[in-house]
Amino acid sequence: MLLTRKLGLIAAFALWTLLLAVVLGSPVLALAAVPVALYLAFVMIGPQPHRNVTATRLLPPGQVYEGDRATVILRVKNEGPRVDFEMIDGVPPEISVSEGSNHVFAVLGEGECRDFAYTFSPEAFGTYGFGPIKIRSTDAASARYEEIVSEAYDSLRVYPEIEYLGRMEFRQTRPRNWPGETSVRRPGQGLEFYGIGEHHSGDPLRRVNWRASARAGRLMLNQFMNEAGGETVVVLDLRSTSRIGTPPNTCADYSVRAAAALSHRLLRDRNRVGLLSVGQSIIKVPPGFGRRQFEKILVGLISTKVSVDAWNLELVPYYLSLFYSRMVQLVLISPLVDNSPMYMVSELARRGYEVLVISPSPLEMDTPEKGDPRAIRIAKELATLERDMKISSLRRHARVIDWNPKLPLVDSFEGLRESWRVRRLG
Amino acid sequence: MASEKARLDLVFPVRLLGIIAFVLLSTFVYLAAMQEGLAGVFLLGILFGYGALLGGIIIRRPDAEVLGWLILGTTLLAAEAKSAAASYWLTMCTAIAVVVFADFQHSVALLNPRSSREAVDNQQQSARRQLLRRRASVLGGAGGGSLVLSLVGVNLSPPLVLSGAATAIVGILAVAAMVLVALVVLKAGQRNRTS
Repeated sequence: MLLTRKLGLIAAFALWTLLLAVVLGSPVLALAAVPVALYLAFVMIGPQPHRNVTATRLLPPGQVYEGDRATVILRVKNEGPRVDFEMIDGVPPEISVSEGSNHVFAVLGEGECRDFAYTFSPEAFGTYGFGPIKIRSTDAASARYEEIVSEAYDSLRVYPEIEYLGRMEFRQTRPRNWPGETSVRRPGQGLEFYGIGEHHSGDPLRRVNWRASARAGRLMLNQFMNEAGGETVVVLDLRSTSRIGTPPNTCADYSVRAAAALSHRLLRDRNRVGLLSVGQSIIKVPPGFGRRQFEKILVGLISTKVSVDAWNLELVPYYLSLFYSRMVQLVLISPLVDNSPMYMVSELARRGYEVLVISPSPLEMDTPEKGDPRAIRIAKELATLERDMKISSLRRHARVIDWNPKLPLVDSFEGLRESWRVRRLG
Repeated sequence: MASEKARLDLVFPVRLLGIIAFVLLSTFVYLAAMQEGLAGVFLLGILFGYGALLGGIIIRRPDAEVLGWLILGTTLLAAEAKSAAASYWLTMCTAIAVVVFADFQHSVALLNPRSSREAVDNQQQSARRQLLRRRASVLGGAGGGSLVLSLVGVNLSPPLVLSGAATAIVGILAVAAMVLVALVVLKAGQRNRTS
């Protein structure tokens, strides 16, 4: 049990009064110390604070995405006599509590258990660390206290907001053998008409084209195009060059959101999707199907930190060619600030990979403009020119989406429609 | 808006009351000191008291506000001791009033939502008000009880006259005890970050 500093100050006041009485030679002043000393004795009377208070934290169940409302519950149980207590839950500095409170004062009766909740809306994705929970139980006059630190450390994963890509013009150029959503020019079980072929034993009779059969003199049936899935690896450029703009809306943040949205859509269309994220460390998620794969990708996305470059993007083609065949479609998401992505894409194209580049434009980021407005204007024009040159140079090797992150990603895919059509006809 | 209103409910009537009491008391000390012709000396004590109180409010340290009250109390007691109208019951009442005010100011500052760096909602504010009322009754009871006991005890006790040597011994003991208390306070302060 500890004494509060306030109590020490009052005791010092009593002694100081006594000393002053001696110095001034005033017995009247010496008597003033008496009620103060009695006051100290009075506030010490009563039940003592104790350490039998426990606290646990309950994080929101399920997945939390950017902008969601998340509620944390602090459950406090008093296993001793009635106590006044103060409790502070350590929340990360990036989080601002919108409802409830993480700093609680309350009185708990004997054996009482109570929940205190607070709500916040995380503005950025990432992993947030909570804890510890500090509890201070005091007596009724706040003269004595016990401090309890509950080592309850938890981390909450906040996933990037996922844009729904409903009518995205993205096609697997190299479909594989499993069912998917990409129409392939060979007969199969799809919905799009392919042609008329001969009936073989075991073919369903409801597909028989009776008019064509009458003309041919044997049974003919309607054939439909096959719909197959493909394999895609999303390569994310999260090097320090991506840190343009103001958090939580930097180029890197937009890249992560685009990767999440694209992975979500591709997995929903029964494709195998993998991730290769290059930042402070390299995060690899091998291709796979389904909801669990999507969760793995999301965890990979929020785990990569944008930092001083530890990995060279130019080495990625060598790595990819070691692990993935050329049947894999690659999607590079990069703001194309330096020349490394250019080299990477040309090298991948040379090795026979099909690459799609999605580039969130760094020119659209909100950056503070300080200095001569004319110089800023010229700098912007030069940067635009340089970016245009890079994109037209890249288009020799890959399809490129120049994405303004302020606009929905799905709109940027519109420009690709013709590109897919030309390639398909070719 | 509702939250802000509830916050003001707690802040203004109680907190402002403490500050107004402090200002009135310090003005009284100054006026009393002027009558004794010692305004200069006591002004320094008042200014120290104000410095500690305002510093405590600004840096959100309730302990500093308590210190401000106690400095003012010491100055007031010294002024009373120098006054021709000094009496033991007046100094006793003054000392206990100062201590109760200081302690209450501490509770108000501690439970005040504005002194909290963390978010405080309406439910918490009502819980804090409830706690403040409880503390006020405990402190009032302790202050009243100690004052009554002291007055009764002094009235019943025989007159005590100390010799010069005894006075010196009391002085030395008081200084030693003060050093001891200062050490305890410092140690408590290292462990105690918020109250």
